[in-house]
Amino acid sequence: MARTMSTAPVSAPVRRHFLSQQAIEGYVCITPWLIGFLCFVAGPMVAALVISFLDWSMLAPPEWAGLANYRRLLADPLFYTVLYNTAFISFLSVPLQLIIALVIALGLNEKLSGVNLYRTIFYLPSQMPVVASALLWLWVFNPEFGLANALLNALGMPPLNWLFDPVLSKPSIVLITLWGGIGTPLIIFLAGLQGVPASLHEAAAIDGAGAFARFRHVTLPMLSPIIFFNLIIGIIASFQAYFTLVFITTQGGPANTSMIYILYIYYKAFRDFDMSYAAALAWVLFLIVLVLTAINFLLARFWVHYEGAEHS
Amino acid sequence: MVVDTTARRFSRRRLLRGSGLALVGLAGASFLAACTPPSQMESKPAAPAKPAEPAKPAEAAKPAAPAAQPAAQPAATTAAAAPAKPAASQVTLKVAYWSSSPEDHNVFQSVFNAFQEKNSGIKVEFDDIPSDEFQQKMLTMIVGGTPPDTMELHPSWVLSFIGANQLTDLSDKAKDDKAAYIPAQLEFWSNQGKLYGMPYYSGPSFMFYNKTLFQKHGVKTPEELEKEGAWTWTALQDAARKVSAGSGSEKTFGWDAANSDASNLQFYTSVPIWCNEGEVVNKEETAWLLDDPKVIEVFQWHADLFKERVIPLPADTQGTSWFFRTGRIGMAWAGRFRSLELVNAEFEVGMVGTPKGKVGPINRDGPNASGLPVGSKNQDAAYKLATFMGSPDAAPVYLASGRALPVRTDLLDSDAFKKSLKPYERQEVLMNAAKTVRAWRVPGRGAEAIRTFKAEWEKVLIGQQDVPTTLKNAKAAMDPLLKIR
Repeated sequence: MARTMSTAPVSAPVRRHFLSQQAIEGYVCITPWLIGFLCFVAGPMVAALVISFLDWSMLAPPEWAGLANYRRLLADPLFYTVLYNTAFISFLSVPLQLIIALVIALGLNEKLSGVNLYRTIFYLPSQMPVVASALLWLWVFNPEFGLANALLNALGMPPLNWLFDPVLSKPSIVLITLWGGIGTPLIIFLAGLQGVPASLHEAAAIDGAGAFARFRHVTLPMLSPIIFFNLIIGIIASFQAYFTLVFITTQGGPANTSMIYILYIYYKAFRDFDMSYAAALAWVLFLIVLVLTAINFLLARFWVHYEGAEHS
Repeated sequence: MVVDTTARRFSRRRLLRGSGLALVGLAGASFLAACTPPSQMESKPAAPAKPAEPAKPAEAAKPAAPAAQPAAQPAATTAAAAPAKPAASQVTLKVAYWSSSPEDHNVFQSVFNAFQEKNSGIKVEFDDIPSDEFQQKMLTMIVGGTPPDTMELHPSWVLSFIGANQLTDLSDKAKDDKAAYIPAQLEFWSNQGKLYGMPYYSGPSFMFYNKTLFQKHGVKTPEELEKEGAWTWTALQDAARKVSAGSGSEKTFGWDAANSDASNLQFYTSVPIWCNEGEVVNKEETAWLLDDPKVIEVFQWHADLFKERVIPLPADTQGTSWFFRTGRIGMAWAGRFRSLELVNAEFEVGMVGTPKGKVGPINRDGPNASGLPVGSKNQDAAYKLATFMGSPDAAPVYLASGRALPVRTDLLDSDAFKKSLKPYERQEVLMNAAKTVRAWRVPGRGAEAIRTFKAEWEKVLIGQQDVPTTLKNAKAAMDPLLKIR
């Protein structure tokens, strides 16, 4: 059998050599990106890793500290607080963003009059600068004359302190992230929905599937790679983003209840000039995000369906 | 023909390949350069924190002559380019300060213009850096080996620069000039008997009060209490309670304790603590004294006033840069920089000094000075500018701005100062404020200590913790920060 196979008239596999002319031309083409990556991503990452093993406050000469910064991190109660706060905001806001974006995308995928206007309206908040958005929400959540309390008042409910309440500070931030965070996944969902073949829906309808069944068994599986993409991007972003929003609205208060990981890194690096500790925090964050992404990829095999793949 | 074409095409690709490799090489070189640790990395890790090359006193005493700068300091670019020219025409000072507004920027620029007029050989290049980024930018410039010739200093972080030997000791240069300054103003920039900054701005605190609100409630004004000799911290609390009234958006509050931030030890709370015969840290600066009964007492009455809604909560003042201006505050702790904001106030403004406690009045200040980074290439010219900024020559400009108080004793009663007073400003209040200043800087990791304290204090405001527990916890978290310099 092997001999038969070997004599079969199949074309020889193309050998792609690292130093082939084609490969070199490819390298030349990606050189601008490569320079940027080396100088502004890989370089600082390696530098941060080295700094995390030093004791360096910028002004004084650095000294080798070994794992001291990582040991300090494990003994730092605020580290666990910021980790919890970040996870709370992230694990609440990302799924909510995806669910709301998907629901709105389903609506905006219908052939309605003025649908383009609605699409623009829903997408617009995501294009608003974070600073402007944060200031706007500060006014909305103002305990004295904000819209949120005016609404509660109209419903006969007592006013809340929103961002200034230790219990509500994180949910309030989640609310703000929903407003600005659904635009981008919404557009991606919309594109994905328009890529679901109508023939599949028709076939399912002929088989007697109702609207929900079609959504459950046709739309969702076809959208699952897009949901997965949005989930991965959302989780990575949520662990690293929201800095500006939190910095402007609560600055991590009250009593550190909204102090998120990235803000803590900023305070350590640029307020306390505790560069080595900040670098250690940054690397731990990188590892956390890496592990979360890996877990997501592992779980993806159970629910993400790729069109044309033999199995999900 | 075929060969020729191929060769041509091939050579073009070769060119592309060559360019690509050159670019990669360049990228690699810049990457390596970027990753090369700063110059200080070259020093041996085991060695103790070695100061950067300090300016030699003998050289410091010389007049501005950059062309004759010693080899230890690289000569100024201009001097190197044209060594034959007279030194006086060659000095360009790069100076770094932060302005708080366009008007403030103009004040700086006007002072520098006046300096240039008096010192024709010196040109000043003003780098106006946002205050939030200032410390970070200075660190980057110093570590990168391009420090400015003079830089603005602030008491909340000056110790870290002094501790890292990055500021020039000005003691010798200033030995004949020091006597002119208000002593406390020099203390802010001194450490272990050495002077590291020449003061140019002073902003001690006092109180503005809303006369209209006091009259509306028929309450004796702080000024009337002051005249009776009864202006104390206890009287302040009583008055604050009496003018607190109403609800909702009409609610008035009695006392604005530093923008509702009673945790701001540097800017505010140290003052009532000192007036209560308490201390914030011990003399050796090795332990916070927050669990001292005299300190607890001060924070307790603040907590009570917050609870009674006599002091507005941070949530109440949200969205306003200064709540007092809204007319809903009876009295506000302030510096003179706030005075300009009251020019068009819709209520009658009064001014009164810091109340007395068991002792006092004792005051705080948030002054600024000019420091000379050790890497400054034009130390003599830089020192000249540093002293000019607080001098009588510059006073007509910087005092006329109506934001600052004089840093020199001879200017406290000067015409320039008197002319700058607004109708609601009282010279005696400002003079007393300046004279009762106690120089204090948050020791250790100051920013982190204040942030830690603020987070603990917020637990009081939200009713999570009582005052003694909060202060005990804050002390436990803050004491270790004193060990890191």
